[in-house]
Amino acid sequence: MIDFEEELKRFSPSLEVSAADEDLYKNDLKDITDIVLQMTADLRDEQILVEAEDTASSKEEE
Amino acid sequence: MAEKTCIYCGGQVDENGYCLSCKLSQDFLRKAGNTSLYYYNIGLDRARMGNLTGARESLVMSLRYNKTNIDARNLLGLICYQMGDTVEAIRHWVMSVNYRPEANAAVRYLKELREKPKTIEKENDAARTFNIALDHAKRKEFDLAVIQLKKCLSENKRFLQAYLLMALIEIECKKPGTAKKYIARVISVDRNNPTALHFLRELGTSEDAINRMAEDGQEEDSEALFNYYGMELRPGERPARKIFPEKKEGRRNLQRDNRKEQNLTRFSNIYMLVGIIIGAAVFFFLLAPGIRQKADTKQQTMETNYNETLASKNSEIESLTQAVTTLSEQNQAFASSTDAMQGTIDDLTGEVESLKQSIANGTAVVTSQSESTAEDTDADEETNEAANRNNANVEGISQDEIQNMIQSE
Repeated sequence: MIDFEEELKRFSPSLEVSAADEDLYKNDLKDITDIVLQMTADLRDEQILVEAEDTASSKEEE
Repeated sequence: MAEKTCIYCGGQVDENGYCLSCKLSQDFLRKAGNTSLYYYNIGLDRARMGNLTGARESLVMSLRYNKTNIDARNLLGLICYQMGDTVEAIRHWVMSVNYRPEANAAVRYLKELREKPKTIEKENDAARTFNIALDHAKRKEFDLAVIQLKKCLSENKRFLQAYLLMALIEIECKKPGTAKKYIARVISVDRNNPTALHFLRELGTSEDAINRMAEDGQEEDSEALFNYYGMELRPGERPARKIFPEKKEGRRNLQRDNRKEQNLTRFSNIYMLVGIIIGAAVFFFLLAPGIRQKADTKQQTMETNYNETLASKNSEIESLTQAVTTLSEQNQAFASSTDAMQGTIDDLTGEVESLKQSIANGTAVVTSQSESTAEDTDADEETNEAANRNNANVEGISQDEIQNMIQSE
């Protein structure tokens, strides 16, 4: 049995040309390379943070 | 050994195969590129078979592995366009041109779209009316929603979402027959559309009927799409597998309808020509006689005016000719009278000369007579008599007159 309300939720408003112009470059998909780059950047940040914490704790111990 | 450059950023690659700039492994990039091509091939196969939804999914997956895969992006744009989602298609083509501005088919697609601003405007209107219809449907104002959707479909006949929404509303209004008609249109363009298949199954349509519906007018639609946009297999590219059997005659009801539509469009020039001929005939038979009559009347009036002018001029010429004749006669009369006068003058001049001579002779006689009277009056009486005779010969002129004439001379 078709549930009208549920089925209607699957329909999304169609984009108009003027709306598309605004966020054309913002909403481009991310490919796997972008994700890996993002991950390596995050890891690098984390590593830097951990290293900074380690140096801080070692200084405290000293 | 030549230095390797990174596939992703063009930076230098170290001996372990990692880019010194972006730190990415070249093996990883190559694998990502290959996977992207693999999904692109699947998408291409699905698109050739008319499974647009499946093709769209595969192409999106292809772009997830490599977003700079131009072929995948262009084909995704084409599929979006074929499904009536023009805005999405434009987005993909613009991104594609952004990644590769030269030797890119998307440039041509965008150029063709730009050359038809009315088409874009229509499809923009279709998107707007679809959104309004969706709002009406959410408020369960089905009549208004149907009106908006019909308007939307008249402006964009490839708008699959609008057909599906229409079908859903018809199902809700307990009109499964009409709903199936709209779903059939969706299936003829996108044979594996999950929403359409779901609706058909819920309406109790058998799988065989669904397959038949999908096959009707399916292959030529996708072929037309590829032919129109010049998509061809390149050397080394995997050709699409043919899963479905050869075209079957007698199962082309929807396609026949499509052909009828195309014929109507194709013959529009002939209709225009017929219209022009009818217009010319109306002009020739209805308007031209009136115009001709008006011109004739004008011509007659002009002829009458000219005739009147001509007659007046002719009479004037005649009177002038008469005047010339009279004057020439007068001239001749004057000339003849002048001649006569000249003759008279000549006569008078001759007379004057003769008179002068006679006067001269007469004077000499008188002088000699006086001298002889003083010396010898008696001896010369005969001479005086002779002189008197001479004087008496001048008839009609008195002595006084002669004196006056001499004085005047």
